[in-house]
Amino acid sequence: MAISDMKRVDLILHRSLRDEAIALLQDAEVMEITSENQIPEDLELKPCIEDSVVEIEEEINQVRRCLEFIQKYRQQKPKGWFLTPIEVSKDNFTHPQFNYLPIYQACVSIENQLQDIRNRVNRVNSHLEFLKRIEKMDIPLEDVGETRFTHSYLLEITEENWVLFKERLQAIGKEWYLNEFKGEGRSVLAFLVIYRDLLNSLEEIFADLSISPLSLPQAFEGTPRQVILKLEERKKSLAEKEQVLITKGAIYQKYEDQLKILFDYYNTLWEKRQTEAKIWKTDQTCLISGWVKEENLPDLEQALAKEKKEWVLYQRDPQPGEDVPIYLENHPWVENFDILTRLYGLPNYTEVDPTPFMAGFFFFFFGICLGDVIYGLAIALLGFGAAYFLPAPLSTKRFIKMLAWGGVASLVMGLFTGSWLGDLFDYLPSSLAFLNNLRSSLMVIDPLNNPLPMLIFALGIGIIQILLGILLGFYKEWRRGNYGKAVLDHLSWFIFITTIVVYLLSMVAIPTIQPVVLPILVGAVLFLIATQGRHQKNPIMKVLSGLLSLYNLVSYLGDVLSYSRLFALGISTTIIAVLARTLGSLFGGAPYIGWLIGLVVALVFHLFNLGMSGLGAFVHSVRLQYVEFFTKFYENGGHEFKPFRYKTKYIKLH
Amino acid sequence: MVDGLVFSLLGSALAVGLAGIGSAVGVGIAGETGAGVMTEDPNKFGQVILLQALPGTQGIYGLLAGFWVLIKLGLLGGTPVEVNVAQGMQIMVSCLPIAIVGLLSGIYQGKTSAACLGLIARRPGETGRAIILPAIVETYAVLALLATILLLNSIQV
Repeated sequence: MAISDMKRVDLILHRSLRDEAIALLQDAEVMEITSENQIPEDLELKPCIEDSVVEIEEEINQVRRCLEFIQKYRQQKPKGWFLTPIEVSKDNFTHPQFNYLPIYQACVSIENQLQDIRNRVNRVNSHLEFLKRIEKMDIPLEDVGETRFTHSYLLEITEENWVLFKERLQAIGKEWYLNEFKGEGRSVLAFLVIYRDLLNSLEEIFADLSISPLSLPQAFEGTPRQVILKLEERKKSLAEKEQVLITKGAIYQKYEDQLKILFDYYNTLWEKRQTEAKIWKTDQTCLISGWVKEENLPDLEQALAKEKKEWVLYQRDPQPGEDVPIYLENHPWVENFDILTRLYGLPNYTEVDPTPFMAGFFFFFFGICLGDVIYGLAIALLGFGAAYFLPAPLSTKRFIKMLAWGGVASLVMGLFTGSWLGDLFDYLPSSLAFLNNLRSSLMVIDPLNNPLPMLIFALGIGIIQILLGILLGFYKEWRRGNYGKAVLDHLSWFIFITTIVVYLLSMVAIPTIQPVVLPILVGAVLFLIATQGRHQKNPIMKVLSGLLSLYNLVSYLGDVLSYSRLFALGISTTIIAVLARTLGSLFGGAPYIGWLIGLVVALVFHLFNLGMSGLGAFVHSVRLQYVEFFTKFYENGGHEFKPFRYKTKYIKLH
Repeated sequence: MVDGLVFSLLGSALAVGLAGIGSAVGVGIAGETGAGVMTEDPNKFGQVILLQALPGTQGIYGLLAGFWVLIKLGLLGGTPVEVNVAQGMQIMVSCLPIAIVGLLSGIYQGKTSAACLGLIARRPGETGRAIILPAIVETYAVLALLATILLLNSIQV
């Protein structure tokens, strides 16, 4: 059984045992706790929420902020791609002694100070930008402003307006003073001091020529050049302060492990509180309901019995229509391919786990699509090496192993089609000719020169997988007790398609069995016409929709033809490898370092081919499972079995 | 025969050129969306580059078909084969499936990839499924490549 058998469990216990029982269940990690929703109303059960989760969420956020702070300001980069989990004993984990608050406060204070420094640097920068514009004005900036009788302005005027401005200014009177400086580009900078009675006329000039006087962002002392020097100085000291704070922040890196443990602790606690909300209680008892794998049930009962006696455990089989959690259990080799089923969606409890059936096909398809001995060898070595040496999480390891097995399949298929880095081995020096002899002796089909057998091979596998799909559909319905549907909708088509295939084969290969097959074929057609219209009420419609159902054959035909991609992708890998060899040898013909260039060109091409063809092999092999195979029998819609457990991200309990 | 060679080379050029345009447009469309996704979350680079690369296969199929013609004609480091006009036109026509389908499917696959990039922007857990949708579009490019290879293979030169 690939989908583990589940039991619905109701655990009723005395309220005093509640905390112990919860701790025990969390420890055992075998039960998914769900809320019992079929409670008779007269029982007066209440949900068992006692502590609020708000505080815990606050704590989780604070610890997360500390970790983010450490992550941001760490000076030693962590080694490796994957985190190695921190090992903690259960006792230390469930009773944390570490107080994170001082660290949190320090982190927040450093963050705030850094933010303050950054704000100040921004302000200084914007002042500098302004001052650099007027750097050439040799005027003490404290003089800009107004006195009792005069106003003074900083002006930036385009060269075209400058002459006009001076003319207009001369026209309004003589009580002003203008100091001119060269500005940036085609503009003129000016310092204007003017008697206040002339202000109205000046405003008019400003408005007419659309000049707006520059206003200082704040009061400065000294000439722009002096102020710039002063500000640069300040910027430098701010940068130093920032550096000091960052170094100080990096100190907290030494608490990283403890914070991570605490993070996991609070998350586990949160999980526990959430679970407690699903527990019902009366004055004296609690009701914990959920799902347990059948095989784990005796262990659970034993563990409970060890503690106390004030409990009762009811168990029953899942009822039809119940949302039973799914736990997939397969052969270790098949488990590497679990991820593909998960990607599509887990099966529901009443159907067949497609993984064991799909795994072999995926393995095989990937091999055909990549289909090269050396590429396969490279992927297999890299994959198995990575899965063995890298401290990656289990799901990642399985994925890598799945690809590595695909590499193995590709190696085998490469032997079969004689693709060893394309046709490279044809061009080996005569001293290595034995390798090429080996290649040709192992080659069964040569798709480059004679593609048809390989194409037929691909389509043949397609027919086999589709027939298996229909058969699985039959099995699924039969097991559910829908015998009519199983026979009429699945088995009949299985027989029909099989006979067509046998009939076609008999035409080319064994004409003698043709007279036997033909009546079966006709019988199957008549059977389908008679039965496929059974949902219609009108007898004419029954026959018509029976006839029409034969049209489904077209969709099966389309599905089978879709498998031709296996051949196309396989041969495209080989051809691109041939191209790599051809281009390499073209460049290799050049004098001096030609051989080196040729080698590099060929190598780059091969790597590119490996990447793209590998991606294609994966994607299209998956697609054939999802679109052509799964549609024949698979419903999905199950949700994963999530036992109540320690929710950990960084640590490993021991 | 020079005339036959011209048709053959035209076929080869069409396969490489049109399928290449299809992929370039497709990859371009996906890349624009990908850049948008990455402004939100630069850590998605891995997923984005994967989805952007998917419409790139048409160009490779076209290149493959184009080079296959050159190899068939012995123009890549072999002895050139003589092709008459009829053979040349046959070769050219054989290149058309991957040229035309590559052009159009590359563009549509790019659009699908872009939409799937939007999907992983909001639901990073769905990358696995998001890769499958553009692959369904690619089916037709694979089938066209298959047709081109089978057609080319059936021509005797």
